[in-house]
Amino acid sequence: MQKLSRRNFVKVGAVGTAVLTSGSKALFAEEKPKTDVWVFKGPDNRALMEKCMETIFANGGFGANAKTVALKVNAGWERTPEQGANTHPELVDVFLEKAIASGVKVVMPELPCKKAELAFPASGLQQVADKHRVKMIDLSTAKNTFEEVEIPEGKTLKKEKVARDFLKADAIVNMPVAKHHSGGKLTICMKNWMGAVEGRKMWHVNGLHQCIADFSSFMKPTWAIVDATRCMTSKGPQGPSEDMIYPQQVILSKDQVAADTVAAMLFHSDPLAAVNYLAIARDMNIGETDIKRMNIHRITV
Amino acid sequence: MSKVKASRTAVRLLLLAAALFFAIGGPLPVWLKRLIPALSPLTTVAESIAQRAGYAGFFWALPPLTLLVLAFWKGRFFCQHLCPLGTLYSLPQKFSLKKKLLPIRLNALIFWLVMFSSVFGLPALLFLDPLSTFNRIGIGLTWGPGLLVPAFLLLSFFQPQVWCTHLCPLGYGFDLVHRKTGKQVFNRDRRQFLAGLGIGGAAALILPKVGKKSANPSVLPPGATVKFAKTCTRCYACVSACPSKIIRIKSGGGLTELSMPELRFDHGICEEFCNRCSQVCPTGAIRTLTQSQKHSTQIGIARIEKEKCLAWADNEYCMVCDEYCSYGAIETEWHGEIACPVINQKLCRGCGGCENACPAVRAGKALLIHPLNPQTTIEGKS
Ligand code: SF4
Ligand code: SF4
Repeated sequence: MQKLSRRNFVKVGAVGTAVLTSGSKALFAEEKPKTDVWVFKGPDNRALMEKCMETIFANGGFGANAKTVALKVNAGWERTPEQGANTHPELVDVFLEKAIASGVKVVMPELPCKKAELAFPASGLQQVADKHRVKMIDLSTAKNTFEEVEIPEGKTLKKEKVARDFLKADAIVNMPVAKHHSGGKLTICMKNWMGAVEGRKMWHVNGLHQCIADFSSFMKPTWAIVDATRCMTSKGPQGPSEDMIYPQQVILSKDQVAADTVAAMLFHSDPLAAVNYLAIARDMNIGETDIKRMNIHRITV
Repeated sequence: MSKVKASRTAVRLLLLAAALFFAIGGPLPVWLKRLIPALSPLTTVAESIAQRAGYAGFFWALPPLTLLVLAFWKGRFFCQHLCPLGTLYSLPQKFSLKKKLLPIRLNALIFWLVMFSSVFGLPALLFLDPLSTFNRIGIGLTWGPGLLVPAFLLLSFFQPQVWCTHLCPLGYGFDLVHRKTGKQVFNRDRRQFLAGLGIGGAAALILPKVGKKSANPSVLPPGATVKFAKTCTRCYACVSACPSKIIRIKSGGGLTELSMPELRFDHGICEEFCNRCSQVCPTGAIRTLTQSQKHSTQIGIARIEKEKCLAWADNEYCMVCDEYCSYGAIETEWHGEIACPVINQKLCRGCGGCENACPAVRAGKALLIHPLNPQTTIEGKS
């Protein structure tokens, strides 16, 4: 049932956007409230994440009646937390602690690139999930996990099989690490959904960037949280990379496209020129890509 | 049944169960998979001769040597009390029809054939070693050498323990070293000794030339020596040890390559932080590698077939091969907007990561791993 409500939500969103864009451009710029993006910066990962969680709960949490939250991290590679191929376990630790304390149940489904029994423990995320008794679901072996959905706004990707755990959940949180990516240039929130679908291989065959944007028009998280504590700027997504940067940031927004745009600026001065799927997201109006139309709260922790 | 006999049977059955347990392995430490096939003095001696090397090392040479010393005093003690294959073949004894299917003993011939062919560098027929044979059970039923156990189990219904009494080269070896019967046994089978010398020598020279070399040479497990095909006894310890299940049994190829283990990447890859196969090989066909030695071993090199590649031929944003390469061995050549993959031969380990992940479907995978034989190492970078 949840799936239906999400689909309806997307449809309503699409209609709304259509109405807005058909109106005058000036009116649009004035009337649409700026998109909130929070950038937390500081040396201590746990403190960053605590501030981030405070902000989440001060801005509606996971929704009034949310009982279940599906959390999409990166845990796909057999790499250590320092190497920056997976979401940092310290951040996830705090997320789980605070989310569970607020009364929701969290699951962590992931379609790993390496075998789950290698990648999940190496990433440190299995241990963190175990600590909080959260189920880390290996989508590569779990049976009957995927359900086909339609992507109404999709240009190339019109259907995809999505992990049921996300469709069933009351709220979705997209929590990737920001890193270099050989095919996608960067992988942050939007591209992270490739770890939630069955047909990801075909995205490469059919036009990667369009598919990424298409799917993000359907899959919109309640919150997007970007781990930009340490980032690979080459040899991504797996690494190890000799070109690490250490922004020590966590970026938060309800709009994953905005979060991606802000995070991408850590890598490229003009993200839309560098990252194709962001430019497509702008053209398709999936989310905010214009810094000027964002309310960026920079918070030092 | 006397009490002594009953307790003996119980011990034998227990040992059989334990051996099965080791062969199948599961969560046990991986080196236990080596224990059963490595216990054979026949394998250890023949392989050391064939490879002109004490490949086993002190630790792994000790158990088979102990068995030899035991045989010096007690003859076939191992056969009667310890051998898991012997116990298995003795199970149908009660129901056996006691027919003489095989009237003559050939164990001396097989034994000497193994020994003399080993002298010429190819331990022919060593796959018949009972402990290597038993160990194959660990991977379940397979064609070729995997059928030996069911076949002889069936034969035992007609002629009790026909394998042990008439064919087993290891049992014959125990007879030979027994201080009481040894000389007698040798003299009795002098003709088979001479036949073994002749056939063994000829086999070692001729076998490598028989059969077509296969069109796709095999990628071998990390640590495999150049003599891998000849010295592997097909115990399949590596097959069962590989967590990725990529060590498969070869079909086709020349006679010396018959049913040998090879790597295939269609369902998995050689994992970056794994050296399990190299820990279990009882024959030295795969040398033991430490974690870091394995990490720097090149077992093959990936080659790109550009006309099949999504980036090179179809102008797609792909680079999935680069994504999945754990060693940074795929470099980017820019064609306008499109990143195209190029293999860095110095860094590629031949792990199959790229081949396995390549999403190209139009004309099949755009990457294939070509074996390196001999395998090489990457110095200074890992
Ligand atoms: S080292 Fe590679 S081939 Fe050997 S067991 Fe491990 S994954 Fe399998
Ligand atoms: S086989 Fe492919 S994935 Fe493995 S090291 Fe070579 S280029 Fe990398």
